[in-house]
Amino acid sequence: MNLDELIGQSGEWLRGAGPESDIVISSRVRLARNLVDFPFLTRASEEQRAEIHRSIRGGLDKVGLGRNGHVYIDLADETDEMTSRFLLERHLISRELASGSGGRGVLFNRSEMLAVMVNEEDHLRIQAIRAGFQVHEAYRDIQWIDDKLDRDLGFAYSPTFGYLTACPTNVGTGMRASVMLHLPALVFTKQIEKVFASVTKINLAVRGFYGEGTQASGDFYQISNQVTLGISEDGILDLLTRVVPKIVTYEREVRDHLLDKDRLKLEDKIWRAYGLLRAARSISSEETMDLLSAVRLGVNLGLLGNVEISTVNELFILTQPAHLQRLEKRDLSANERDATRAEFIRKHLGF
Amino acid sequence: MAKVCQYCNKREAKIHFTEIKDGKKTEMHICESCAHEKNMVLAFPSLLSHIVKGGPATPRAESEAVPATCPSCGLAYTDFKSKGRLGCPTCYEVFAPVLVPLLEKVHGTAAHAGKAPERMATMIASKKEVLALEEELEQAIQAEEYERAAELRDRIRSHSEGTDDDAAEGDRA
Repeated sequence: MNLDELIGQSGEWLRGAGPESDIVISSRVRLARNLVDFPFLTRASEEQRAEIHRSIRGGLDKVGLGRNGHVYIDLADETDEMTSRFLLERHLISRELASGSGGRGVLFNRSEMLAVMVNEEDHLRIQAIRAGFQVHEAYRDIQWIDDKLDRDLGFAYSPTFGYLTACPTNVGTGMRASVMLHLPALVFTKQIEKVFASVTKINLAVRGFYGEGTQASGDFYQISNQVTLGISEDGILDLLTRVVPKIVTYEREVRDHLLDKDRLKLEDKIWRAYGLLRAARSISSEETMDLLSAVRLGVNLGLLGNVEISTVNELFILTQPAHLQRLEKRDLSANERDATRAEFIRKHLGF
Repeated sequence: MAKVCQYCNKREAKIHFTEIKDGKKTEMHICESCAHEKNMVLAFPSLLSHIVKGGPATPRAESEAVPATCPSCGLAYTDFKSKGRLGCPTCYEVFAPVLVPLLEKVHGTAAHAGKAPERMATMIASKKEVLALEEELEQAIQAEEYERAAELRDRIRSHSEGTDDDAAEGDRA
């Protein structure tokens, strides 16, 4: 498998399946781990970094993740910055890994439900992504990998502090469980701040579309556990299981309310967005995200019957700059990108 | 008038701070050379002040001293303070006096409650069994059941061999 095979498609988690998938786009769980025999990356020499990289790649091979539809991208070998950005846009790597240097890389499988980052902030970031609301299932997907790799590589662990991580905010379980929510109605009615205020009070964090420090875009928000120590893995997953359905219900109630009381305004917003996307000859990434969000809402409310939800989901990713350039197989100027994007969207929405 | 160092009673004290222990305040005055000799940087509350913000003061953090650098990876305590990243697993032990209050602030506790690696779980289980066997052995000896005692001793021995192997595997460089 090579990266070009991924171009025209998206990860399994964007296909629009899974529980509550009208609002919960995806569930992801990641575990931060470090090898006990090496310093963390900030204190590792170039040689140690390379050795960590080698050991982990060996470990991944041993547990059977080196074959059968798995691909490993060695980012140190990639001189092309576009590859990192492409992987970043697909949520397969973090910004930290993309902008890093030295021995590092990512392993993922064809469905893109598994992604293992090597030498990010920690030696290992093992991540599972599932469509819809499936945090427990996502954790199950990687639990065995964690156990098997530990047997082979030996992870840094203390009975007092748990799994030891470079940043004390990740120590303990080393687990970050998050769900990506699409909350256009709560944004539209300005109820979203209320949700954030109550969520942050119970040790959950709210982040943007591309994680920590990013802007919310297309009305997407990621909600994840803030605390990793003093709580068990199940405790973290249960916290999300208790809170997320409440937000989902709230979003649905507001949608119903809008349909009931403000139908014309809502329909107008959705159809205008659809019309613009089908007609535009040049469109920015930002505008695309906004309009797609309205279209996505329209599809989920049954107002736009002829559009597939998977098409809309995929467009959020496939219209990002690095994806367009990979598709065109060349660097594009900002103007060229906007034109290519508009054409790509028109084609996918049936024109 | 310049104060004299409370440790050497000779040099001029250059580092002044208030130690709060069990709610009692004591003014401390130390010279640079003594501070250096004791290989310590003082964990001043600045590390926590921006995080604490209105929270209750943590007296322990103000009074405890930590080594200037981690003996294992060489990370300077000041580097941890400014960047917030630790250098290696040993840092967690070395900087524990300042780390524990920090973790309590960030996570609400400093004690792990999640899973343990399987090898740890096995080790803990094995230790428990050995303790039980040793107790049985003691009883067997007192009851002069020497055959049984020999058997128990062998079982204990096989356990310790097993855990030695595990330890060796865990420690490999």
